[in-house]
Amino acid sequence: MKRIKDISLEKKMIFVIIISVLIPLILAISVIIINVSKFYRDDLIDEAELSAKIIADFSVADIQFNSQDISNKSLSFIGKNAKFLRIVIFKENGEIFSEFIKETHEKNHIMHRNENISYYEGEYLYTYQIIKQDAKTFGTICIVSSTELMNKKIIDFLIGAIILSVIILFLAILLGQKFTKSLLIPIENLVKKAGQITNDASYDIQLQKFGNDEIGKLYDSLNIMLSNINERSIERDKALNALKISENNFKEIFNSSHDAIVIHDLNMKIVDANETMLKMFEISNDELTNMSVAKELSSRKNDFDLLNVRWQKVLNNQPQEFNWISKKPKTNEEFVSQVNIKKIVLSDKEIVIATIRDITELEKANDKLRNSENKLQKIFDILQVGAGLLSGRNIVEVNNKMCELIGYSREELVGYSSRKIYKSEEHFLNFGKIIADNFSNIGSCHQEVEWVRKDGKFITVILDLMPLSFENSVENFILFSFLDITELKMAEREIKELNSDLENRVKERTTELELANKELEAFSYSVSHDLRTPLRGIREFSKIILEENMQQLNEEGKKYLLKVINNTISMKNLIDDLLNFSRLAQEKIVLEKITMETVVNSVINTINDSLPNNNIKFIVHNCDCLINADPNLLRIAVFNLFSNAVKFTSKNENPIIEFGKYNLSEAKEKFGVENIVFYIKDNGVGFDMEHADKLFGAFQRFHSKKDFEGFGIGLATVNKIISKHNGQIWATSELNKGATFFFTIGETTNLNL
Amino acid sequence: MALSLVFNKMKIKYLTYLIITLISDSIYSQFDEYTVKAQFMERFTHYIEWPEGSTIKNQEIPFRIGVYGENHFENKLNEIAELIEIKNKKVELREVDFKSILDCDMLFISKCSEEELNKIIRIAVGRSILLISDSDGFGKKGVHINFYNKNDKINFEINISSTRRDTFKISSRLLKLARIIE
Repeated sequence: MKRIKDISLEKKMIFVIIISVLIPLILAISVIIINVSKFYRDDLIDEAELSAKIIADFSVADIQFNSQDISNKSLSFIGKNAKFLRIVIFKENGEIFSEFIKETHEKNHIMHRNENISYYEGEYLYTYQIIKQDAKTFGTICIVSSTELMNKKIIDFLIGAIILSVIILFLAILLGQKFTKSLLIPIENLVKKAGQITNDASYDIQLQKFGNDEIGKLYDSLNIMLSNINERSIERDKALNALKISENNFKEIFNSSHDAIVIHDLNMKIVDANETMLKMFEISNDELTNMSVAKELSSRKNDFDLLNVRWQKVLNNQPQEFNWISKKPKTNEEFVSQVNIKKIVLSDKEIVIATIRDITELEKANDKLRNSENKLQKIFDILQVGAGLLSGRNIVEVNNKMCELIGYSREELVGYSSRKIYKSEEHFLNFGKIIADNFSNIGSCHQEVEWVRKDGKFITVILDLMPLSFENSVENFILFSFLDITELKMAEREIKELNSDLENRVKERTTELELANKELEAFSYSVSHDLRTPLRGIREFSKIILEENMQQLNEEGKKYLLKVINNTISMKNLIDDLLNFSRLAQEKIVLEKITMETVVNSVINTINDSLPNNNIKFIVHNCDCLINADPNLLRIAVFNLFSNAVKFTSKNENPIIEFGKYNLSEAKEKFGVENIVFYIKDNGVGFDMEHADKLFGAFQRFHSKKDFEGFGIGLATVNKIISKHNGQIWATSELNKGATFFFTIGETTNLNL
Repeated sequence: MALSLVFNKMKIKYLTYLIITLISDSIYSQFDEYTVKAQFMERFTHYIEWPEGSTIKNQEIPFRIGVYGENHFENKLNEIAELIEIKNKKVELREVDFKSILDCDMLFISKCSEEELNKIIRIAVGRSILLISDSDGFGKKGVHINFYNKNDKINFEINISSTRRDTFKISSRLLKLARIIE
């Protein structure tokens, strides 16, 4: 068996082909030969039996009529068949009736049988047939047939089959070799390549396939496998490299760690430690191996029972972190350390890893920090404004003032959303938006907002918010402080209310006043107008009486009548003045460009005309400036001023009336007025400056009517006209020394300038 | 065995016939000439078909064998006639003269004159009577089958003209064994 295994594939294949061709071939040939020989034997039997039957049929008459010669003849005729060697007809008693025998055949004894039978004996076939007719037996026929011919045919067939087999086998081997080659070359190639791959241990080659049959698929699979192996080996190399690096890195990290790292077995025995550890405790590696963290390296002040408990917890997978007073074994110097102990599995081995950190400095720093924190907290609490810290919109910290103002305790605020101090969800959300907008625009927020105290009262506060980010914290903190301005707000609101009330009242009064003024004006106008007609009647009829009834009247009567006429004239003047005055209020001014000089000269001329022989000295200073004014009204105003001056200088023996102006610069310097100022100065009686504010009111008189005529309406008219021209009028005086009136007209342009 | 055979008549007949033929065959050479001839006559009927219209198919009428002239058969024909059936009918044997020739199906003509023969033939023509004789020359004269001796063996000749004329159908197997007279 072993030898067969060692035979090359090609030989095995050819062997298989030969076997697989030969076995069926031999089987087929055997079956065919058996069948053929059976067929031939049966065929021979059939032929012999048929011949025997025919002979039997023909021989009945021969036997019946005892015709041996004819029977012999018949037999010799049948006997021409080469297969039949001998034909014998037995009579019933076994006696031979007739016989045919081939010359070549030996005449042996032949048995008589009384039955239909065929059998092979030796090289012969014996066929017996009973001769019968109408149930009567006449004898038996025996035919001896030769099997020689049959055997020869069978042998010929066998030889043919063998030759055919040899040809088929030859062809099969030929074809088999061809197919085997196509099968074997890829396999041999595969064997070669596999050897190569194994020797070189390089997997980055790919196999060239020969076809797409199963071997082709095998090649594909192998190629995939090769590339996978290649990838894996690359990955493995990478991984090994990475491992090496990581190991080095790990060692580096292990040693460069700022913390001392000690690895224990489960019995608290030191297995390994990093360099920091050695430095921290100022010992060498060898010394360390004989020491225990719980003995030589620890202060006796520690609670060792607790340590044992912690160790048990660590073994139960509960990592421990605690402070520990460590000790340097050589110097006995003690220091506070923070220890972390944890059980881990490293390479299937359970170990306990402990990190020790010298936190002496940290503790000091922490103390400082705590102090400063306390200070800050105190400051925070002592502040007289509400203040606190938010994280997002959640309250993180509040000061005492805030609690006081809001009415909630510290515990009720810290940790909660600031939503609880807002009136509603909507307010809360809206204010959140405002904060966000302000932060993104100006970086802080200064807003007025209304909050709700715990007792439900609303308070208004000015809230200042500022984003605050701490180092090492992802959270966004917001620092806030606020002032309670509820009372301020209420006061402000009251003032606002009062102000608006006042304004309204003033408006109301003004309208009322205006209405009253208008009514008054209309009334005085209509009164004046209606008075004129009856007055004219009185005057005219008095005149008529005086003229036509001169004689009937005595001197006394004439005198009274004249007085009536004079009084009516003076009343008419008064009414005209009143009418003019009230008309002024209603009339609209029509502005024109005129010079003051023309107006003044025209007025002086009119006065001179009406008062001939007067001794008044008029002095007009340079007044040729252009004025934008209603000429008629301006003339009335100027006329009134001049007639006023004339009137109050009438007692003076040398009356002087001056008219002039102050230029812009002078006016500003003297009166603080930004316009040209005109003046009219007299040397009359003047007036008491005490009454200066009443000077321009209607019907105001400072002198008795006996001294000076007039109704006190002139200066009121002037005032009205000046104010209609957006001007101002004022006066200065000393009693008995004369008065000076100053006025401005809206738009005055100095021509000289 | 003999007792059981008694009860079956047919079997007895058949057995007896077998025994006789066996005996007769086995002692063939010892039989005399007419025994053989009687046997031959019976065997002829196997190879010859009688014409249509003859009484041969009428089962009520037995197969009648007539012997004309000197009866050389003595009892030999009788023995046969009693034991066997021909054409499935009983056999009746009689000696006939001219008048009773017509009542035969088969007629054996012993030695007689030419005149007599001619007369018999004239009577028998077209009458479905198979004529058999054993005299030289009778075959040629119109007898259907005529026995003759050759090398001490009994042979027969058949006049096919006569048989054809009288519409007997003779089996080729019989003709093969016979000497044919045209």
